[in-house]
Amino acid sequence: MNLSEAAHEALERYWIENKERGQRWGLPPSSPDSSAPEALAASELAEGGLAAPGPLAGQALELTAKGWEEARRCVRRHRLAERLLADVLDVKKEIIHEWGCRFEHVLQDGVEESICTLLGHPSSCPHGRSIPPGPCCAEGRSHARRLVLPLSECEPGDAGKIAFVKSPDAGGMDKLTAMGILPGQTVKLLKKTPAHLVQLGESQFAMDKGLAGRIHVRLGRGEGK
Amino acid sequence: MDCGRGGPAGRLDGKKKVFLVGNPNVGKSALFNVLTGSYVTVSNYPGTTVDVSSGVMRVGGHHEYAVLDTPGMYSLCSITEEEAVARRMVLMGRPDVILHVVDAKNLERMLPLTFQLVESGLPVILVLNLYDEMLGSGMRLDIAHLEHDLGVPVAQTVAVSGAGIENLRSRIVEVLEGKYQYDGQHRPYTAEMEGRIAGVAKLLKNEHPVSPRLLAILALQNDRETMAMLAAEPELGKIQALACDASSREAAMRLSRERQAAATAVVEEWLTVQPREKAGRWKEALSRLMIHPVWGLPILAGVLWFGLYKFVGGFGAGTMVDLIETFFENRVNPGVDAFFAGLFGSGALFDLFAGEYGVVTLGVRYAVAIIFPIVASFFIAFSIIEDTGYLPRLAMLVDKAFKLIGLSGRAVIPITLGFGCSTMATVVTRTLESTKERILATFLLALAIPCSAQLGVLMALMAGHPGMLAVWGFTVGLTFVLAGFLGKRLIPGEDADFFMELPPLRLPSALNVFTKTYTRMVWYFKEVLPLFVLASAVIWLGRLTGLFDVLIRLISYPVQWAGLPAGASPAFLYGFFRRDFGAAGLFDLAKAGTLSGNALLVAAVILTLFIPCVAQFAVTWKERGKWMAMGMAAFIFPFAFFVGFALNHILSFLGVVL
Repeated sequence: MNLSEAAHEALERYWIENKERGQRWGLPPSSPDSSAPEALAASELAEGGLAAPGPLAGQALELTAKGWEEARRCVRRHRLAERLLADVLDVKKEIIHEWGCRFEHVLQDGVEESICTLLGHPSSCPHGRSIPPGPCCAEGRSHARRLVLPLSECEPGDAGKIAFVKSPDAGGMDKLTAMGILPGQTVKLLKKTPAHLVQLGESQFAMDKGLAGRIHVRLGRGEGK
Repeated sequence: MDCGRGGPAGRLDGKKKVFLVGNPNVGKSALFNVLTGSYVTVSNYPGTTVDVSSGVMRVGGHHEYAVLDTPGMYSLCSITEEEAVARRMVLMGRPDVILHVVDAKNLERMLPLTFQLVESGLPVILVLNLYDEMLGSGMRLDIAHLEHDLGVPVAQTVAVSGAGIENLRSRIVEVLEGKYQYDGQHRPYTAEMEGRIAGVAKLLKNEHPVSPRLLAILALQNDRETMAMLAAEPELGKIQALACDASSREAAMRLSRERQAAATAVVEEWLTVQPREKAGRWKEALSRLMIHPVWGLPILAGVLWFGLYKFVGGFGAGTMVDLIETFFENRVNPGVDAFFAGLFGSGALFDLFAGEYGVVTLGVRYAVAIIFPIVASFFIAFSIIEDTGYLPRLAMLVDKAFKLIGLSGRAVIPITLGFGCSTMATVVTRTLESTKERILATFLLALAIPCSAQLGVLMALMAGHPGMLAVWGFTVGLTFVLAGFLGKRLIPGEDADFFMELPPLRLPSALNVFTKTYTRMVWYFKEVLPLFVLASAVIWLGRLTGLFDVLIRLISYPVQWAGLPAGASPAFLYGFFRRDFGAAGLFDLAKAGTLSGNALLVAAVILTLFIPCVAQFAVTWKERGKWMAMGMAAFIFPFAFFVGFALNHILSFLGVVL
């Protein structure tokens, strides 16, 4: 369904108010002559059969069952986008929400599932609000392992290819890059205590949890997917 | 050229220069030894080549080349000060040939640096060292094709056994004498990166020791030192505009990835691996035990007990010191005293050379009778431990605990070395990554780590008083932890990360241990013995002019506040010149029976914490700057007395009499 950005916003707000804050909040009544963005969004949703007038005061609109489903996916995409920005792309916290809005439209069906799997079926967004699970999540949770995860969260014996190395905030050349720890190389976690011990080629490297947490690995099991 | 201390000496002038470059722990120093036949520190610990070693390689009757061993580096993007030294040598040292020494079985990981070196436009020879270990792990390499592919000579060696060295020598001669069709192939990057590199490279107008291509690549990564090298470029503004945009870090990442991908492609083409039963299974098991959070501790205790306590403390500081000291007291000193008495009578000149504080009877006697056996035995033990590869494992074991006091596990090396010689350890703090960690380690070395010479005398002082020893150890240990704990919070800067390569465990070779101990002893006596003799002379001058009487009177106030007899003051003044002078001064007082048990303990604590010896102070000044050195001194002086004062009062409050 091709909805406008304003319609997405309205759906998300409806979800948050009614589902998460426990309010009774309705979309403003549709009136063809109003040019307020919220009212336009409401008319768009009503036309699509996602919203209809309900028992709320002032002719406010309520979501239909189809509308609820759409709202849920909207919220899910937005929050997955935020997670992607925060965890993988290392975008600053302050601008995550704004970018999440733009990014969510990119996460169409299918891509959304891949991103969710890549991120390990996260249950909450960077702001701590819960992400409505998708079909992939039920399947993924039964495996109980993420596809890509930081070395610090791997178990000894896990091996895989480095997917990406997160940079620290400070500028300058990254130490791990300089040491030759680069995406695409195969690593194996040998030990987690007293420090992380990693096999890379024929060498072993010891590193603390902070550095190990920056190396994200695509576990061997998920290779080729 | 600036390549640290011990750079090329005059005897190397005019000779063609061969640089050894490569990762830590690939056998560069061992290779240096076989090529030059001279002495250099060789070790199984990443990053012990703090200073640049140089020597002469002779081939046949008429070829002589200068060989320089650079500190280990992982890439041309330097992180530690040591790596910066190595990099500066490559970029500005104008070598005639670079030997890139790699661990053959890790070729894939090390080849990107070969590419970077080739990019410099300088002749490179790729040396596949530890070739036997590579064969042992079932790998076969097609060297002829690899050589053709890279366009540079490739030589396989086993530096410790000397295999392949003759071949390497002749390859070096071929390149240096222009008999090799040298054709280093640049690995092309993607078209987009090549475009950006060319854009910067064509703006470079000045003459540089390395190719514009390499400088352009480093500039694109916004490398600060490279930008400094380009400061005189007429088109600097344009270069900066191209190079220093926000994408520099991304550029660094992309270039590294592209180099790595090229390396992987080369290795996949020419290297075959036959899976086979892994040799050295017991080594792997032992390695696991060493870094086990529980089993690692008894191993550490064992190493400390046999290595430090039994060998250094028992054999070095006990048996050997007794033997040599007795020899001096019975044979040498009376003779020296008589000789100088005959020469000068009993005046000031007699005191300069002989008597209680003479240059010969005190300076040389302490150096030879006390310092030599203790420090030599420590260095032997340390070299053996170091060569097995135990130290990086110890670093990994203690990392978490060290983080609490603001250090990373890496700092365990300088701290342990500090028990041998704090001066040398202060130099070795260069291997630490962050400024904060270097400052903190230097400070802790100055404050709470007693060196072997001092330990020897203190142990002898407190021998037979286990209670006293326990309180001393507890107080100094607590000071160490508290100082680190506060330092971590007070010194600005990020806490250090811990990252370290664990080399395979190897059986130390007697020759390497000897070579290394010898080199360290030479360093020690060259740097420290003159200061010793100088200190004796200063003491003599101070006493002669009456300056010391004034100082001793000044020091006697804090000394008495700490509950010590005023007669102990000279020991502290002499302790400034060398910590062990102070300890030895106490030794004399204790022998004469003028110190109570409590006073002895308090004095031992103060002396341990006390201002570092002159040599360490000088090195701190050099490594950390004068303000840092003087600041540390200004803190440690009163603080040591304060701890003594507090300890004395706590002891009397608790009614403890030792």
